[in-house]
Amino acid sequence: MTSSAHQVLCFRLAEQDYAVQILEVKEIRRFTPTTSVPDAPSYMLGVINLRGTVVPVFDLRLRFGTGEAHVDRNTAIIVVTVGARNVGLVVDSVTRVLNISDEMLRPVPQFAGSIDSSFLLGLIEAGESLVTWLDVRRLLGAELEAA
Amino acid sequence: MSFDIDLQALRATFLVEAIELVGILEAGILALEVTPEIERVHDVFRAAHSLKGGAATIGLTSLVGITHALETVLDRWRNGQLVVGRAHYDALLRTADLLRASVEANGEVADPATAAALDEELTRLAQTSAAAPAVASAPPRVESGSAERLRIGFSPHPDAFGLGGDPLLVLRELQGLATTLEIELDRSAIPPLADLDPDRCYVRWDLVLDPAPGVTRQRVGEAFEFVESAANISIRLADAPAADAPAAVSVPVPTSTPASTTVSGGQAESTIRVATEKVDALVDLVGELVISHSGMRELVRDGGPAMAALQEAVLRTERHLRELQERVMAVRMVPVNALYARLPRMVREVAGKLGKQVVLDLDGGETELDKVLVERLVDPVFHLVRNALDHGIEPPDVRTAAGKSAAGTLRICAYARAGSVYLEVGDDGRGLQRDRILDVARARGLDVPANPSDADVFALIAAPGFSTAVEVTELSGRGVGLDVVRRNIEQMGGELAIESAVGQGTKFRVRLPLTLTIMDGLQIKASGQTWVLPLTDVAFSVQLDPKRVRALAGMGEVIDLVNETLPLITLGSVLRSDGGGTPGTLAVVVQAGAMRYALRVEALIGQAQVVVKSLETHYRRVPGMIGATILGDGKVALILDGQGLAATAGLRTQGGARIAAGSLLS
Repeated sequence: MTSSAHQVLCFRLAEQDYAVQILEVKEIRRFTPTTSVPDAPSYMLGVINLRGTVVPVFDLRLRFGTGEAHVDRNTAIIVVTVGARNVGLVVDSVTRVLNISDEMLRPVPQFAGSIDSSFLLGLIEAGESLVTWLDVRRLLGAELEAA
Repeated sequence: MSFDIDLQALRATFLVEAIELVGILEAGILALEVTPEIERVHDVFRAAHSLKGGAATIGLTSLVGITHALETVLDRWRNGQLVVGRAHYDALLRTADLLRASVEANGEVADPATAAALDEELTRLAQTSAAAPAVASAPPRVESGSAERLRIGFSPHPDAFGLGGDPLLVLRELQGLATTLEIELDRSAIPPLADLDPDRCYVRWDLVLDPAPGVTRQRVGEAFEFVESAANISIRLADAPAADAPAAVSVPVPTSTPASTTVSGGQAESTIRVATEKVDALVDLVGELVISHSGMRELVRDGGPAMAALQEAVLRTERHLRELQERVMAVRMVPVNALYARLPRMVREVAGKLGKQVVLDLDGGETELDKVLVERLVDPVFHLVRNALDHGIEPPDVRTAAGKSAAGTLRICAYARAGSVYLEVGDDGRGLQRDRILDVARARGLDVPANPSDADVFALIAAPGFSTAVEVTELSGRGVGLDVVRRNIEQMGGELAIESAVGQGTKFRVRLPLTLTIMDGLQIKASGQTWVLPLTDVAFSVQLDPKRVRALAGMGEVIDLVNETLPLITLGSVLRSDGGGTPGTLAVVVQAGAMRYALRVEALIGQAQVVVKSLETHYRRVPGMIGATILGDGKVALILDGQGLAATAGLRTQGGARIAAGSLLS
């Protein structure tokens, strides 16, 4: 196994494919209503009880501005580790686990102007689809810092 | 591979023990400086010796070096070959510092240059007596001490290797204690190779030892300290009868059985060292159990007559559960002594620097408090102590001129009362000067109530903004960062009170809850979701009469109650967390610290004990919240912080808020 080989967990958000490093994934659970927390951005839905610990849940569609979140029977919460923390990500559905190799990776395109793309680790070409590989720490790190 | 892991585990164990040993070392040296007692020198020596032995077992050679030098000084001291003075105490304390820093750096010597210098200094001091005798009486020599030939039987248990004992280390140490040492290895128990288990010890030794000058029989026994739990050891005079005879009869030493060579353990109370995570896991689990139980109780409550028996069973379980919870929580409690242990050293240094004489009086060290609270109390208490030494206690000449003893007294005491723990830091110094404080407060533009009581005035020195500038601090003579101390204490759910009398001294009293993890709370419904308000913050609740609620332009709402008019705040708008719901028709009057206000709620759900969970573990601190808890139905509810909420709502203290409301109403 080479160091560049990875497994990622793929999920869908507003008809787009995304992925996170599978080693970061703690568990996948059915969506449960959250308790909202004051002083938080709209994409921070609130907190849930994860076997006795209180874990924040973020809605990635609101984070990316790709539409209103809606909940159906496929809606899931992927619990990922960010440093020492566990956080939940609400996704439309979890699709598959993908083995990726260097040949499948494409660099992140340069976005114009002020668009922050630092939370994109790369694009993965997987058959028909192009999967956006996310760096959760970069994506949510600021939200997890002390206010 | 498994060996590596074992060594890692061993090192972790050693490091935990080492911290304690360094603590014993330091406390012992400090105590000796005040009252030199030979028994204490022995204690300190044993701590140093255990450190050395542990370091050697793990293979931390650099630590072995410095602890050996330390041990040499202590050894000569306890044998009366060395008179100890200020220079010795200083060097010993610095060595303790170095050891602590090294242990904290995972066992590697933190600062090799300092270590080398200290090693040299200790070696020199071991041969250099101070001018005046520090230990009052010559230490009692053990009569059976040197020059008596000892016959030693050393039979490690078969599993001795597995317990980390290394017989060779012992033999080497004995070599250092002897002028001549005869070693005879008994290999007769070694089985044929096919049956041999390489992890077992099959050999034993018979030794004849002529102690080096100054080496006591007790000292020889100490060489076995680390293996004695996994070996049969007999030490007797060479001309004494065999071990199976009652040794005490013929040997003229009071302590003569092999067991008496035991140094560690014995007199210590029985304790187990447990990793904090394990305890925390238990605390969490019991918390979960309480939660699921309260869910069950709610389910059976409305079940009608058929459920009566089940209800009773549920209630019975609840009693056991409460007791289990209390006992588990008690495991987290540690005595305040853990904090006290660090004070003498600090007082000694600060007082020395300031040229002041201070008698430190520590009381109530056995009072127990949640471990987390004790740790978080360290900084505030250090601050209060430094403050008392710097600003409270006067220099010796000023004190004598005022007719006081030249040495000031710093008294720190802890006690538990009615579900709270109190810790007082009091000095007999110059006291707070009321007029000056008032001048400074006015100059700083702080709210000063009309006709302030002493308590009001003293509270000002811990107000934010009182002492941000240096010249103000010098003018007031007090109050460097006291607002930070106060805030730290309030964040722990406690309170800081100040008493003072001019010329007689000042006393800071810290009140803390026994534990942070469980609290009595009032569950309320507001802004469409359930919240928990600490019961200690709740004064009473009232039905909201719309006629008594008025809007003040730009200042929100107020409510007229029987004797007072209070700000009325609505959670949703204060927290900008609009969860929907209807505007409440009830209000809870919150009294938190100096803050008093009414909180609009939709419903009062009831009172319950809740387990406080941190929001910071996986998210971050949320303003206005103490933390979160998990309700009987498994949902999360946030726990409101009465004071934090008032701050978020922009309320001022009681006096200020009342004046604002009152002036408009009149």
